[in-house]
Amino acid sequence: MSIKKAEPKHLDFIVDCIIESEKSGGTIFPYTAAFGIGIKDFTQIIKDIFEEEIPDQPWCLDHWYVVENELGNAVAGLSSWIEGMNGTSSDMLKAQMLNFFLKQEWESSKEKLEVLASITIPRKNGYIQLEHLYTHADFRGQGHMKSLILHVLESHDSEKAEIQVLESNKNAVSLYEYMGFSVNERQCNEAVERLSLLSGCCKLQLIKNHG
Amino acid sequence: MDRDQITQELQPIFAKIFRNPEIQITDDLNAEQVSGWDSLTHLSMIADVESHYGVKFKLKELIGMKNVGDMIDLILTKKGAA
Repeated sequence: MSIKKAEPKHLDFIVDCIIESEKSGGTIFPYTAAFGIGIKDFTQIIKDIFEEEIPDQPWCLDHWYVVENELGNAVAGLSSWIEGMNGTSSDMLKAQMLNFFLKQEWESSKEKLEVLASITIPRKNGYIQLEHLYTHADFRGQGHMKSLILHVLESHDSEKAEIQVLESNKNAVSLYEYMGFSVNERQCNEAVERLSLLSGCCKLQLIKNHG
Repeated sequence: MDRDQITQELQPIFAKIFRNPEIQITDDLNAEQVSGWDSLTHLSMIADVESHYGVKFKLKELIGMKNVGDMIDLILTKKGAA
């Protein structure tokens, strides 16, 4: 196994990472729930967004790291960037991109988006962000994600890191806490779960100072 | 159309979107300085501005906007007044 920066050949696996991590251990895919689009359409939109090469937000190839097995296949991955480097939050950048590619759906999804926004926790400027962490099911329990997180943290200049995750994703929360992250903020709205927009109704912001 | 005219025209748009009748429009105004300026209200504001001026911003232009001054520059360029 080897850890490396992602390349264009990893894009299909990266899309898997985004889709599975957005499910956050549950079955609901929030973009389908909010915008009423299928996985296939979302996959194409994600690929279109990657084509734009917009940095400082998770959907940029340059921010991705993967674990490759001896056959050259990616088995784990994550996106990592420093929040707010260009003066605009990653959430704002993502919203602008989604709005651009989903103009019609955005207008008809405003109420659902407002509910989702109710549990948004602003990311901390200057913090290393770890997002879309995912290990293929066949390769779990072998320490790949732990190695990947440590590698990525060491590759950045900043000593402070942040992960956001649904509280209901117990396995992920346990791993992050084991690695020294602790809960800094928690935002809940039961309407998120009642409307089947996410697999849980509480979002956690976990932070770590690894200096 | 000039910079001052656009600044004046943006005031009621911003006042409505950010629910602040007293909001003062300046070139360096940005999301960090305005209560309620989040990703959703930002996109509503952009939609209203595009509609008001009959312009469409490209994705790279949207991403590159750091403050109101940048947006006014783009409007002037698109309206051929820069």
